[in-house]
Amino acid sequence: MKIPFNKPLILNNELDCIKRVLENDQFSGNGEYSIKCNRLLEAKTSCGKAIVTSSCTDALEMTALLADIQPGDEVIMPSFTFVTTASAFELRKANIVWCDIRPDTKNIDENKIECMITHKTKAVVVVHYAGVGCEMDAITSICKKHNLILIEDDAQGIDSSYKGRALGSFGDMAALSFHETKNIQCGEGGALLVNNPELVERAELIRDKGTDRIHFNKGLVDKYTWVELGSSFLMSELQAAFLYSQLSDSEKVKIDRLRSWDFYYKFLSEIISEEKLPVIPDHCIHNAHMFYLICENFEERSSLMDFLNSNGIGAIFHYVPLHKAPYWKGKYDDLSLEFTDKVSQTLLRLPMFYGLKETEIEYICSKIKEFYRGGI
Amino acid sequence: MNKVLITGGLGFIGSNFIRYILKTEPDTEIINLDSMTYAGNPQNLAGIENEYPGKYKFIKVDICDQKLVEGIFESNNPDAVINFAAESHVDRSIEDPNVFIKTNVLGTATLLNTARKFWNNNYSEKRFLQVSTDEVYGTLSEDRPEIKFTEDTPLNPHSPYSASKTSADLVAKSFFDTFGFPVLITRCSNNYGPYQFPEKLIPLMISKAMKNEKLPVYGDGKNVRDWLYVDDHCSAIWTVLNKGKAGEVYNIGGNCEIQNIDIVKMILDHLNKPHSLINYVQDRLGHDRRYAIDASKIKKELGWEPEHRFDEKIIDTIRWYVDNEHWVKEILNGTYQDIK
Repeated sequence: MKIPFNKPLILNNELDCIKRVLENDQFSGNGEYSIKCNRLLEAKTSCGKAIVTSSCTDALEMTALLADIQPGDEVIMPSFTFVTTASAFELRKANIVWCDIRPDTKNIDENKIECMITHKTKAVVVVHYAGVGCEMDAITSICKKHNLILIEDDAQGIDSSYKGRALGSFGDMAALSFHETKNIQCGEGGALLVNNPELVERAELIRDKGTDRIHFNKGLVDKYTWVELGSSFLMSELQAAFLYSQLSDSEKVKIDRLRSWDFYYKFLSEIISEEKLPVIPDHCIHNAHMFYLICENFEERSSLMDFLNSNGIGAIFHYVPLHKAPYWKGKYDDLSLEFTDKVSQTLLRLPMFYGLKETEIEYICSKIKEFYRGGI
Repeated sequence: MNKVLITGGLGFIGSNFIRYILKTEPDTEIINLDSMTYAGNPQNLAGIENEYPGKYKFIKVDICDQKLVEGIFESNNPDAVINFAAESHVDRSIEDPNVFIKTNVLGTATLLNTARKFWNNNYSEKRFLQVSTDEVYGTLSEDRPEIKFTEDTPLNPHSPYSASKTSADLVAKSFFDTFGFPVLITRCSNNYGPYQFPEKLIPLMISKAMKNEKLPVYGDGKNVRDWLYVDDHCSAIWTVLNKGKAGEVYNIGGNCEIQNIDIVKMILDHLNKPHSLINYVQDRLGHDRRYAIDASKIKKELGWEPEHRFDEKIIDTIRWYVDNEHWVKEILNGTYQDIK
C-alpha cells in the first residue's frame, strides 16, 4: 500500500468557478470571487475585514506593515514555526525574540511571554500549531496590559476555535494559509483578517500596492496615487475562484478529517502513551489539520520514519527551530529553548488528507505497532 | 433551549434574531447555518464572536445538502431549530420561481428530515420552529377592514414566493401530524428594522430618497401591509419556541396596518425630501392588495404583544440607514454582485 503524506484537496467544483471567471473577463485581484472569499471568511470569523492574498506570507508581511514595525522593535514569537512567521518581521528589521513552546500543544508558552517584554516590544505573534488554539485568554490579556499588537499566525487554523471563538478572531490581525498542504487550498494563497477596526482602511491601501485605488473605485478621489508603503498582495481571480469553491465546502472537509483524526487516535492510544499523542485542550475545537506522534528521541524518530517510508507511508518531520537556522549565522546559537529543541527532534507527522480511508489508517497504525513491537 | 440551530442567520431577520437572543438570553448558544446568497451579509454580524465568546458559531451550508446538514447535527447536537432560511423577495420569485421552490420547500424538508432522524423520536425538550409568513393567506379586501387573517383562514397564496412558503409551512405541519414531531409554525407580517436588504420597500425608499432618486411605487401605492418591528418579531419567536404548543400555528403581527404610499411619504418627510420624487410604476403581477393579521391567539395563549410603536421605530429605522450609509453602499456598489 502506498499512502502519501498529503493529497492536495480537490472537491470537483473548482472548474465551474474558474469557468465563470473566464466568462466574467476579469482576472486580476479583488473581483467577484475575491470578494466572495472575503465575505465568507468574514462570516466564519466575524472579523471586520478579510482580504485574500497571494500567500499567507503576504498576509504576514502585511501585518508587519500594518503594525508599523520599525527597525529595532522587538517582536515575540515561537521559534517552532515556519520561516515566514519570522521573515515578515525580519524584512522590517525587527528584533525577533524567541519564545519556547508548551510541550502539550506545541503552541507558544503563554507563561513565558510576559518576562520577555521590554520597552522595545511592539508585537506578539502566536502560531496555532496544527490548528489547535494557543491560550488566547492569557495572551490577549498580556497584550492588552502591555499595549502590544497581537498577531495570529493562523496558517493551519481555518475553522478551528478556542472557547467557541474562531481562531483568527482574537488578534489585531491574523494570517491564514491556503497553500496546497492546508485543509483548504488554492495552490498558493492566504488571507489577512483584520479585527482591529482602526487598521481596516490601511489594510486595503497596503494590499493595493500602497495606492488609494479602492477610493478611486468608490469614486471618492478622481485619480489614484501612492499613499502608503505597500506591495502587490492581491490574489488573482483564477485562484480566488478555485479557493471559493473549496472554502464553500469547508465544513465537509473538516468533518471528514476529524473522522480520520479520531480514528488515528483511537488506534494509536492503544499502543502509545497519551502524552506522545497530540493534545487537544477541552476548550479547543480543532480542524484535524495534522496527526503527529512524539518519539522517544531523534534516533527513534529517524528509524520509525525510515520504516514507515519503506512501507510506502509518507511520514515526515516538521520545523527545524528558526533560531537555529543558517540564516542567522550563529546569532542565536547560545539560546536554548527546551521544548522547541526537543519537539523538533522527535515529532513525526503521519498522512492526513481529505478522503483518507479507514483501511489506510489501519495499515499505517499496524505498521507503527509492528515497529514498536519489534522493539527498537 | 440552550443550543439553537438557526438557518439563514446572515439575513435580515435571522441576524437581528441572533443579536437579540445573544443579548437577552445569556445561556443560549447559537449555531448559524447560512448559504450566503446575495442577501446573506456577514457584516450584519461583524464582531459577534468577540462580543459573545463561545456563544456563536457560523457554518456555511446550503440547507438542501442533507449529508452535510446531518454532519452538522451530529457534531453540534442542537436542541432546537429555527428555520429562517428562505428566498424572500417576491419580485425575484416572479422572475425565477425554481430557486424559491428548492430553498424554501426542499430546504425545509431536508431540515425536518435531519432533525427527526437525529432526535430519533426522543422529542422531549426539542423544538422545530418554522418561520412562515402572512402571505400564505393570500389577500384581503380593503373594503372590509374588520376582516383579518386568523390562524384558521384558508391558505391561498398568490406569488411563487408565497406558494413556496405555504408548501414549507404545510410540510412542517405534516411532520407533526404524521410523526408527532415537535413543530411550531409562526406566520408574521412585514418586518422592518436595521440590516434589511435594500431591495425591500423601506430600505429601498430610504436609500433612493437619500440619493434624490425617483422612488418607484407599485400601482396606486394603496396596498396595505401590517408592519412589525423586527425586535418584536424576535421576541415573539422566542416566546413561541419556549412556550408554544407543538403542532400549533401562531400569527405574529404588529397591529399596524399602513398603506405603502403613506410609508413612502413618511420617509420623504423625515428626510426633508419632496413628494415629487414619488414615481408610480406599473403594478407588480399578482400584487396582493391587503394583508392584516389577527394576532390575538399568541396574546391570549402565550401573553405576547408587540412592544414597539411604528411611529417611533420607523424614525429609528430611517436614522439607522442614514447612519449606516456605508453598509448600504457596500451592498449597492457591487460588493453584492447579483443584486439587480
